Amino acid sequence: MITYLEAIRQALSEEMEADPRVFLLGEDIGAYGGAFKVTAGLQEKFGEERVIDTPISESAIAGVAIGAALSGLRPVAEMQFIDFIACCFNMITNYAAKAHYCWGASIPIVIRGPYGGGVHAGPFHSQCVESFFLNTAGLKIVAPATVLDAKGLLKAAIRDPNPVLYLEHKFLYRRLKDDILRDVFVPLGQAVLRREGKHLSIITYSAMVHVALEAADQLARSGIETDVLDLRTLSPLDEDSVLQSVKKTNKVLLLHEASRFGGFGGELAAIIAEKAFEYLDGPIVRVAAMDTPVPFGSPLEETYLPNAAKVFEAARKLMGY
Amino acid sequence: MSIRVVVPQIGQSIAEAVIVKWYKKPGDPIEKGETLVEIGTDKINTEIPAPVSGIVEKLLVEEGTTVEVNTEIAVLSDMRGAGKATEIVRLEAQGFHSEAPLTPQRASVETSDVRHSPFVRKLAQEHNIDLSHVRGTGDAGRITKDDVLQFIEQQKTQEIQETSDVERIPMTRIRKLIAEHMVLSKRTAADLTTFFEIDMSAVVREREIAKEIFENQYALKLTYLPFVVAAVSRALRKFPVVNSSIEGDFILYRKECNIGIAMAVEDGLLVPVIRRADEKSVLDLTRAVADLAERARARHLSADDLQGGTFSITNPGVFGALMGTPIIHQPQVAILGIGAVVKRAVVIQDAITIRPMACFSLTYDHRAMDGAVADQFLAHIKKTLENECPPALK
Amino acid sequence: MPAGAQIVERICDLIVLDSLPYGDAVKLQEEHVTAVASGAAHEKLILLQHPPVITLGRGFHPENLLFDASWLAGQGVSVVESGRGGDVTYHGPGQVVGYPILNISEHPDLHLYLRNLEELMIRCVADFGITAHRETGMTGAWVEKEKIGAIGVRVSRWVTSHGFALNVNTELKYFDYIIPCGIKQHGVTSLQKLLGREVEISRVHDSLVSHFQEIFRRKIL
Repeated sequence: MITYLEAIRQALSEEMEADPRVFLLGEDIGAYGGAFKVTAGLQEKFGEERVIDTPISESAIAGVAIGAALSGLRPVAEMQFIDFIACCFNMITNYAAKAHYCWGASIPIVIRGPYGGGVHAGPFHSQCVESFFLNTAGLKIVAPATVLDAKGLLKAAIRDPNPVLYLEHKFLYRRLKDDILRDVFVPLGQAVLRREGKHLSIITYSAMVHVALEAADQLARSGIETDVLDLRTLSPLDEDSVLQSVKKTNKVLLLHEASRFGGFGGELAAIIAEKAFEYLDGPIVRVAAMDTPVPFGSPLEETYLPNAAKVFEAARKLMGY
Repeated sequence: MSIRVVVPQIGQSIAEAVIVKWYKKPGDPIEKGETLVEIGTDKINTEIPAPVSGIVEKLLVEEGTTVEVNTEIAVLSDMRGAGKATEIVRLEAQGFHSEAPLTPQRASVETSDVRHSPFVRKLAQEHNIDLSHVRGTGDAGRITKDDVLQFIEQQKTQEIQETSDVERIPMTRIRKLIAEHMVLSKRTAADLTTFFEIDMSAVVREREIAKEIFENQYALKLTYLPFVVAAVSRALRKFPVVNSSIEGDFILYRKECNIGIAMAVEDGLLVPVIRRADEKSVLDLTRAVADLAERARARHLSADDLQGGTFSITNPGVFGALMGTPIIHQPQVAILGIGAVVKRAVVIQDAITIRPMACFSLTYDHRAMDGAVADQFLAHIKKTLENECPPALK
Repeated sequence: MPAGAQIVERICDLIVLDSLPYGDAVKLQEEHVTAVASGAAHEKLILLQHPPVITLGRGFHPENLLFDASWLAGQGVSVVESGRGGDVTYHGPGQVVGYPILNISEHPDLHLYLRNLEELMIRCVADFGITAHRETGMTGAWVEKEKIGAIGVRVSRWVTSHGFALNVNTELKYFDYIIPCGIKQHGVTSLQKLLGREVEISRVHDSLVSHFQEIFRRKIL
């Protein structure tokens, strides 16, 4: 039995064992073992040259990673809180994302960090940042929701020759435990059904998958059977799985923890409307966080975030169509 | 722009409320949705939000005062332009919402701009289905995908049964709605019919006097119907239970007399409503009937024209029927049928004379009233038409 | 599964508490009202009892409180002002108090809500063999000329709080300290008084929960 957090550590360790080009860099990841202890023990195992403690400069972390990648290494760079990725936005979007398009260079970096809220960490330590990067061609973005995916997707991300944003949800770090096989590998770009049903599709990712499953349980007691589709990879999107589910149930609810306006739900809704219009038997509904920065205390953060009650209510209204 | 704020009707029969507490004073800004005032009715205290964002101009009523519903209690100015126009805005006016489903009234509304969801249209196309034949169980009669799927199933089982000497034609939507409504009415009401013969000579006389003037001055054809409607509305005022509806164990006395007039149209039956018939003169009623009839034929009736009726009148006499047993239009409790006016030999003061007679049939719901009331009601109409005929000209 | 549009009932969480002082219960309800109003939580039905307390609603008339607050405190009865509608009433052990925290914005008919609360109490006591009825003009549940259930409601942003109080095994002598709801001519009664024996509170809860789901069309999981 390992936790979601331990699964991430295992993936890093195993990839570093298998490939000497893989190395880690980030703030406090070496001697301290990381703010959340994700990288605990790795510096002892692999040495200071492969688990590097950096200065407090995300721009430098990303820039060094890109440079290292250009010289043939495979860095995994940590953002101590993914919120801080804002500081290296330029590095990622202008250098990592464009290099292959502009001059054929592969930038096989992974940028990973604790993502999302629900732990009363406040507006600078709880953000969901995928929307800032979805509109950047050349980047891959993944968000694991289970222990198995945490390990399997990270291994796949490290082996991918493209820059990959790996969003690990801090709420899930120690709350999810599972017994998984050692050697797991989850391909990028593939969604998976976590629950099957024919009345309603809930399409979601990351910690919200568990919210969706809770709401689906409640709906089941009223006779509503729900498809819960875990996207796992946001970009490139597994469009076929999305459309397949919508064509089966004809009613779709999009759920994400990022705030509503400009969130991924809008893109998904547009794709569904364009490609599955004739299959819709009701409006496309989104449940997302409110359009404010993430609040700090109770009950504000609870009111801000989506939860099973809100999903249930939205589903209830949608089923009335 | 000034917005006058009135006390809302927040539930049937809540006629007054106490102003418990003002949350703002004149000069305060207020956001739409922010609590403006707390009002109290019997056993309930409720906060009422502001209908618009703006500044509170005036509070017209003091805390602790009891006011009637629809009384103005405050004035807001909504920061929109310097126009002097004032607007009376009801605070969250939602009116009375009954828990009883609105299906019976809905059954007689035929809308021509029904929208179907994309998937429903696709299914219909693939299986060659005319959606006007499908019954919608969704919100406001929407056809859902399950409705179509069920219809397809039914088609399949029915196709097997069709033989060569029977032509099976699906009902039109309006026919289906009428069929459902009639069966529902029969199932719901404890209905029975009482019959009165009425001497129409006073009405005939009155009509003779006025009909040319109506044609020349108002371009209206004057029939016996407006006289009957006027007599009916007087009787409804006298016997309010005939103007009611039943909801579970409650009788809902309707304050307005909205009389529906059954009209045959091309493929069915519509019952458009004359609102506040008791406030209208014979001339007004004639106009109203003519207008509704024309719009019914042209299918230009709105949902408002077809809803809110409290009593209905049907006229089988137009085709020659002597008497009938009309079916009550739910959720009303009675319906009056007017038979053909036929000259007959009758006995008056022990002598035989010739009078134009018509048989009036009143079908009523025994749950709301007993025979004594129903008969007195019809007797009142008889007395009005025979002895106190409403004048066509004033 | 029935064909056609799915009518899914709202979910209401049931909260059963033993004894909670009135003031604490008011705070608890305010938290739930906020959560329900924001859509962040399911609706709630709170069933509980209060230590002896006389509460004064917004419609309170001072002449309906027959003794002064300090004397009452000496008798073990606190006196508290309340934000609910209605006049003065008593709550105490043996009386089942119910606070539905419901979002009624889809059916914003307050009159109907009151009638539904009456219906809830009437159906509940019927399960124990008692026939109760409504009296026009006097909200509540009545058995013959005596009141067995009282109602006082507050609505904020179309979310209800406070609710009803049903006399099960209530010590009725406390009602002598007030003119309940300002109604002089009629007395109060309880299930215990009518049946001549104590009634188990959990059975009353079961009955209320069952009828509540039917009348208000919510599902309690």
